[in-house]
Amino acid sequence: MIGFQIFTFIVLLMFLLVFIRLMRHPRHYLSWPTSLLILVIIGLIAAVFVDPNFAQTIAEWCGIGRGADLMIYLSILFLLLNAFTFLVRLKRSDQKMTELAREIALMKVQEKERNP
Amino acid sequence: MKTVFVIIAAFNEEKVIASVLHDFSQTEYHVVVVDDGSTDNTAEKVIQSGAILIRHPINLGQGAALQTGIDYAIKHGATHIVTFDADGQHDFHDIATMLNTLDRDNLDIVLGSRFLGTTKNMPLSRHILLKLACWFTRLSSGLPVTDAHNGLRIFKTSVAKQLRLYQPRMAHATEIIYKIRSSRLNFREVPVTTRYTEYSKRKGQRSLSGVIQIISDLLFGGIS
Repeated sequence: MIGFQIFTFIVLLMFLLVFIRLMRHPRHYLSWPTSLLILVIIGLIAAVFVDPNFAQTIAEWCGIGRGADLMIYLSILFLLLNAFTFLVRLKRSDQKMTELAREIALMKVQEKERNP
Repeated sequence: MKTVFVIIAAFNEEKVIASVLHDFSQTEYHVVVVDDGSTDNTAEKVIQSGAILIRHPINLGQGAALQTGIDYAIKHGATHIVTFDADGQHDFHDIATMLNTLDRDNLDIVLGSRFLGTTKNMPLSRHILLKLACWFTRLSSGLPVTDAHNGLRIFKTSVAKQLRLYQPRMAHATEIIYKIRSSRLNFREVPVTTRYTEYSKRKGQRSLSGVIQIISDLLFGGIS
């Protein structure tokens, strides 16, 4: 168990460092409150992996039996939200592709009509 | 003064498209065939027949193909737009009847209904499937349609914008009915003849998978 915790802690530390570096990049566009929120979330995830009781405490506070259950519920919510976002993006992308293909088709016809 | 454009969406219909287009040579309609990325000689056959050809660079689906044709028709001064199937199921004589009804009764759109008219050789499974689809469409749209999936329709260009198709595949048929409802268009169903041949039966909706695709398109298609 200790090995896993060290491993995840290192991974999260890397995420943190990468993120902080990205924040310094001139093209960084996330607003200040959003960046802080992401840092806090990374911190919370780190805390959960480092101290198992941390998740337990929050879980009890929420009225959920186990810390592990809480993590699972949150993960499911996150994954569902993610999937939905992707679906929307995919649909939008499909729509744009249709419009592009249509534009090409009509352009070719126009071309043929101008130069028979 | 009517300028009638007939839009035909075709995908790999080289075997029948010539005969379908031949029928139209006796009419005054402007026929536009949208080749939806066919991999056979559909396009060549269309060019030979003298009809207007538009080619999609990739296959997008019947709904998208029809909309492309509709856009073209509008740009070229259409007053009336007809959608017509490429597989020979429809009878071009019905167009004249429908046009008369449309103008005489001052309607916005006229839909063909095979269940009000005659069907020749319709397979039972198709009959049942269509009736079910119809029942579902009636329920969800609130409109008393008797044939929710008929490709033969005529509408005035003035309502084309309200009927703009965003469903690229087969769900466009249901989309049109929903839009008739939401735009409160004057519509009527008219009996039409539908011929089922061995060819069109084979080509027709691969029933179950087709239905699932349509339902999925309707559920998630509105999201964007």
